[in-house]
Amino acid sequence: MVFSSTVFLFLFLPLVLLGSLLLPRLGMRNAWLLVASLFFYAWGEQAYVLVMLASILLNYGLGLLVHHCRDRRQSARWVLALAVALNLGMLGAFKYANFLADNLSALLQLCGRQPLQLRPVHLPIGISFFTFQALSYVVDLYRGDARVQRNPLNFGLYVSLFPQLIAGPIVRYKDVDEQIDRRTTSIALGAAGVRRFVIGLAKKMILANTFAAVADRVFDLPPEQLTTGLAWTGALAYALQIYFDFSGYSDMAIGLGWCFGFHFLENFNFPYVATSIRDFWRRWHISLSTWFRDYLYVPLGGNRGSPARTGFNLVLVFFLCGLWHGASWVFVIWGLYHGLFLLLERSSWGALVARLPRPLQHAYVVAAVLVGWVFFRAATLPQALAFLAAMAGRAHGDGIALHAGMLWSGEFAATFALGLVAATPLWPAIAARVQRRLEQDRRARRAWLAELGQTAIDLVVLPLMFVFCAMLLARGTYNPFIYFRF
Amino acid sequence: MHPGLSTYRHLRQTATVLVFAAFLLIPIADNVFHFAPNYALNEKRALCKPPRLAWSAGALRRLPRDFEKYYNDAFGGRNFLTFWYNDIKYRWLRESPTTQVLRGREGWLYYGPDELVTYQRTAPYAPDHLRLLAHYFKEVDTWLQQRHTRFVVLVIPNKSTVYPEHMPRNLRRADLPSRTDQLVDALRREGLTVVDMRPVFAQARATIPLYYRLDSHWTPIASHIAYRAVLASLQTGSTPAPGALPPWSLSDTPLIPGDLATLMGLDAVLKEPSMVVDWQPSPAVRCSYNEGMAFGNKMVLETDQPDRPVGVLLHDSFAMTGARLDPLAVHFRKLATTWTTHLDPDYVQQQDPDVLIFEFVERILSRDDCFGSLAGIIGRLHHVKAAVNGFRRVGTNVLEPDSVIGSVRRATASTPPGWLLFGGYEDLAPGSYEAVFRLRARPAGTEAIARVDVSAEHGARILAERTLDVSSGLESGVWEDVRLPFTVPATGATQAECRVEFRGGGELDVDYVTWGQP
Repeated sequence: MVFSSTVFLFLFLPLVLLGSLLLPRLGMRNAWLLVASLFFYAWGEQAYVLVMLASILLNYGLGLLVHHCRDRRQSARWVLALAVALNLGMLGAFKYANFLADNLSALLQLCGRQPLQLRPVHLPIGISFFTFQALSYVVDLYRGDARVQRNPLNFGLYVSLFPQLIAGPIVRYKDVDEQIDRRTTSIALGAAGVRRFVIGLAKKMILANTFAAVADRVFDLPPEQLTTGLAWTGALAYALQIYFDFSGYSDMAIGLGWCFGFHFLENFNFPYVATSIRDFWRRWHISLSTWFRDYLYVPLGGNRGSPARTGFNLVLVFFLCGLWHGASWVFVIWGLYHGLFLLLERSSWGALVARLPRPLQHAYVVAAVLVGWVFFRAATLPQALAFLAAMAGRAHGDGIALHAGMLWSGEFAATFALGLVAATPLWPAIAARVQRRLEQDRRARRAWLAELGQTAIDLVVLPLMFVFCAMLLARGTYNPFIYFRF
Repeated sequence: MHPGLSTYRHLRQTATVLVFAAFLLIPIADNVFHFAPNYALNEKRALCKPPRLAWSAGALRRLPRDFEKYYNDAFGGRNFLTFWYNDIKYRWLRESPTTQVLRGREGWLYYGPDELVTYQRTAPYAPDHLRLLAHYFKEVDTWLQQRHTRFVVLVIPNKSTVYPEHMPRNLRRADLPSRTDQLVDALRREGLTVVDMRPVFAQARATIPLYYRLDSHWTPIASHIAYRAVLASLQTGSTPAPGALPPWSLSDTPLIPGDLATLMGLDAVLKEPSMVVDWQPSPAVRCSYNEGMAFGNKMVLETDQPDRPVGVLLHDSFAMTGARLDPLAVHFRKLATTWTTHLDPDYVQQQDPDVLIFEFVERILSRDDCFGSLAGIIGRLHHVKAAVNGFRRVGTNVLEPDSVIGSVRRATASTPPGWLLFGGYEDLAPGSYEAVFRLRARPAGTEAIARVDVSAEHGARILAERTLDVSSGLESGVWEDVRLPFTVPATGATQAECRVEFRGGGELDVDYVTWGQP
């Protein structure tokens, strides 16, 4: 079940919100949310909910064990190692088994041996997210950064909480520990949650889906039909699609969290206005990059060793970061590509970039990220290279059946303009400035004006956005009858 | 903070939450109380029904997906929301809300996917494909000539061919011949009579509205022009310019939406004047048989003029209504029409026409299979040819709830012996195969009820056969799978088919025949 579906929006969500509102005690609300979250997962993944339940039970038990061994460092270390092995083993079995088998088979065939026979393994949705969450709990316990959770239901709720279950943000136990046991909801928080959720939904339905339609059309073209204009249009559309899709989902997750009284950390901070790739990774999928930083990069030694060691750490982290995004070499290349930029930025190249005028810094980041997205989106490495060649002017398409002008319709152009503005902190900056000025101004009339402006946004703009999203949902189910289809 | 301000802020926040809650609940409420305005949407499928609850693993596994499909179709306000989305996209964003329709300039709409391929000329026929098509039409023509039937191919231009100036400005066209150019040239080289309306309409368009703005089809006066051209070609063998046409006018009553407006779900708001042609059929035309307006359906129009010829018209949606056919029908004693572009030799033989007119609009040529299985139809032509030597197709199609495919081919006690079912016409590679005939027999005595076989080369080579009688172990009145293993030798098998020959001696239903490698 995805948030942008009729079943979620018009059946599941109202029922869960209603239940949460009516249940008088926190324990009951937690149990209700746990049941709802398991149902949410089982609805899409059916029997694979057992995988998540196994992960919950496993890490709950390992957590207790680590806590039990807290005074025996060596024993705790062994339990931690077991937790890492079991969690990564489970992730590897479901996510990377086919990838490994395919590559091993290719190697065996190269050596003239029979390839491996492995039936396709289903990838349970969200397994990368809940495995990392559960693992961070055990590691934090080992480090003494988190309190042990003795109630298995509460721990189950932490792992399975549906707003962030299938697409993040990756929530650390220590960040929600207190909220599970003690949290308050209020009308103010609920209203803020609604606002954030609707904005996220609009990002997904209005922006990301429009960009996706264009990006899919271009990336589905055979390379010989690409023109330079098409390739640039496709790459730009995909860059905006992935940002609004992912950040929209995070917004919805954060907004829903507020509605239920949870506070998840921010996951995006306008990554396309970054001034370096290093800065980009501080703004893009923050919960993942900080996870890798805290649980892999720093334990490896971070940047405290020699430059060579730091370089190795960076490359390893980004190799795994790429692999985390998907079991395919294009993701690995994408990860290594970013790792390479981070390495470069630690050299004199970084100093050079830092001295550039700010617009050039942004241009550098956008160009580098755009090229990276081509690797990320392409189905194969040759397709990515052909696509990049087309972007560089070496295109072979005649542009008759499809050219960039056909894609830049009024709707796409308007959405693109809106997307460009929404991808920058322009609107929040204006809002913050107005707010600041009004706070400095003690006159009541100004305060009322600000309040009326917010009212217009909350009661006119947001409902209109929501209705438009509902229209798009309805439109997605409409299939006109073509009676002259002979 | 101003004392009233915090109260107001609290009210605003409460209202925000309540409005959101209301929006979440409106669809459920509408499912119960049905208060949303209901706009009829013209969908090409039956809306999904609620899934059946069953306690099997498979049913439970399918339940979420089936329920989501159902709820996507059933959630309250769906039609209302869809209509408003279409309207906003068309009026405000000035775009077509569906890829099926192209929004042209000055309010003109065009049918999207198929017409675009023809317009942009991006996919000309490969030489082999064109040769196959020409061969097919030549085979049909030869067959008809043996039956003393005139054959006319009528090619109707796309709207975008006649009115390209209203197509969207951003479309490009390849400097290549269109598929229509290629096919018309190839058929004319084969000596067929082809009435190509493109040059005629190109001339007439200056003074006559030939197509509606909001519809993909021609106006009634355009059909008058086309039928005159067909009749003239039967006399002269060439396509003449239209002669004097009946008076016509555009009328605001009724305003019509057009199929393209309907396709966008905007038929309630987009309408245009309809064309009225001041013409009465003389002699009068009566419709003696009408299966209604749907693909594959048949109609028969008749006049009281016994000296006039019999015609068969195979057509697409351009000639689908009785009134539009009247200008053509007045020239025939009987005009039997079928909405199809797949020639059925049995039907033609049954009608025994003097003239066969095969009408199609050029946009169908964007689909490689637009004329059906060419090899199959050619095979059928050979079968029907063999009718003079005793070949006879017997039986009727009957709707049957027990049938896997919905209907069966049935022979009853009164059905004469003959071929109940045949076809397939595939070229098979060497190997072992098995044909499965799903039959239900009710033998009346000890005589053979049927013979099933697998043959190649239009029945010239029998690969396997089996005679069915009471000793075959068939249970009377029960559906049975009769299996017939066969081997295709190293030389392969061309035009292979499965056949069921009804021998009399009872009743026989055939549901389907299938084959494959075991």
